[in-house]
Amino acid sequence: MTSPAPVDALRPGDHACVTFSDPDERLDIIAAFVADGLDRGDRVICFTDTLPPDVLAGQFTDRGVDVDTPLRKGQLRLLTSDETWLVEGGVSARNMVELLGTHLAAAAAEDYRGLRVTADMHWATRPLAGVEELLTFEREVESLFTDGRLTAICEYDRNSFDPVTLAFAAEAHASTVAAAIYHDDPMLRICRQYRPSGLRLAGEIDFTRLDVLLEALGEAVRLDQEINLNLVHLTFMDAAVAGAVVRTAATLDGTRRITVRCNSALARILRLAGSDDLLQLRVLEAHGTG
Amino acid sequence: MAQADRTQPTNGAAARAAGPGRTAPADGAGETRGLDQAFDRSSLAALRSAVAAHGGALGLAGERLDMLVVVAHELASNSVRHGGGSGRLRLWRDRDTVYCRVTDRRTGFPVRDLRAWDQRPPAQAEGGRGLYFAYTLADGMTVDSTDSGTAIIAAFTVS
Repeated sequence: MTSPAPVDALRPGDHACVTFSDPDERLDIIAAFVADGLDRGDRVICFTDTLPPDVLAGQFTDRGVDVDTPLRKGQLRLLTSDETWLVEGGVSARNMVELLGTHLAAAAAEDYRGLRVTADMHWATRPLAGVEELLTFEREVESLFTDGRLTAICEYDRNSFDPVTLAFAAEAHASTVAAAIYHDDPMLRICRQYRPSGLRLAGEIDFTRLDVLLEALGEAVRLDQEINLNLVHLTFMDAAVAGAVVRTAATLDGTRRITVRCNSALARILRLAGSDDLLQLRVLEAHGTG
Repeated sequence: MAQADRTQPTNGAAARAAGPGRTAPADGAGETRGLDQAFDRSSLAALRSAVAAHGGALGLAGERLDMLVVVAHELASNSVRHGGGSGRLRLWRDRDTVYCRVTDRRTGFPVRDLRAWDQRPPAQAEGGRGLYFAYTLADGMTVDSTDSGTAIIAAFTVS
């Protein structure tokens, strides 16, 4: 199994697994995967469990992915576990493989370029769901990937699955997807965010981590036309970091902008650093849900 | 500790009071002790947690408490980066005011009229913003620098 790749490195025919502990990271990855698939002309099906379809649709919309049109046209479908995996009689690997095969054939018959699937595997943690069948499924479904028309991400929440199952699930996949991480320690996590593009910071940051932030910001400035700084889960930022954000925004030409989402305390710190003075910097007050 | 609690200016360089309406902290009765903690570069995050906990216990809450933590961090960071790498932070309450005092071994602190910080330093300026932030966010700030060291005290009124 290869080392984790970012979601934009996935190729048609890949069967990847993403393990996550942070729901925002999972949603960012699948939003990017879904958006790329819709752009390419694939049919995209999201098998959802943790979130009902309308909430999932809202999460995509919040991240700048237009889902209304694809949903209306049938290019995007959001299906629940109850409608799919957990039919009467419980789960069987055979049923799941057949189900996917049916969707794959339908996508071809309807002239889509391919089929992209995201599967929230949380249903497998329910009692009697049959985790063994899940692992059999992951192995047997490989046959559907050979011609490159099917690309899939299976999502496993580290907080819900035991380590043994997680290890087996990871082994059953040819590749793994993870967020691109610039820094990860108990106080601070800095990751690439795909939708909307930019960076995501969680925890606390001060001048002792300024060098890592500047590196990550530098990359965002190189890669993204519009740079989004998601600081919704950041609980502390000091004057040095706020100053660095403002100075970075000041280097952008008039067509580009950094948009910061953060709580009101951090917004105040950014204002003291001069955020109000720049057109290239916009601060939106937002609160994390947890 | 042999050294007396220096909350009043001593015979060394006089403290410059920060602007009209901002008073130096009083001594003595009505005082509730809070935190008294040494810090260095590696313990700034722990210091912030301690300030948040003790500041809350002394009566600050919500965004005012958040700003106390920011001010405490900026004063401590200033000691770490420019004041010899370490220092000591005390938090206490006297009547309706929570005080945060940060001391370090720095001598010759460029004490100046803090009212210069009524204007925000230019955005291009890299250094020195931390004290401007502390001055702006606190309800009052005094600086006292002698040949024994520097003490900066920030005050927050409990509303």
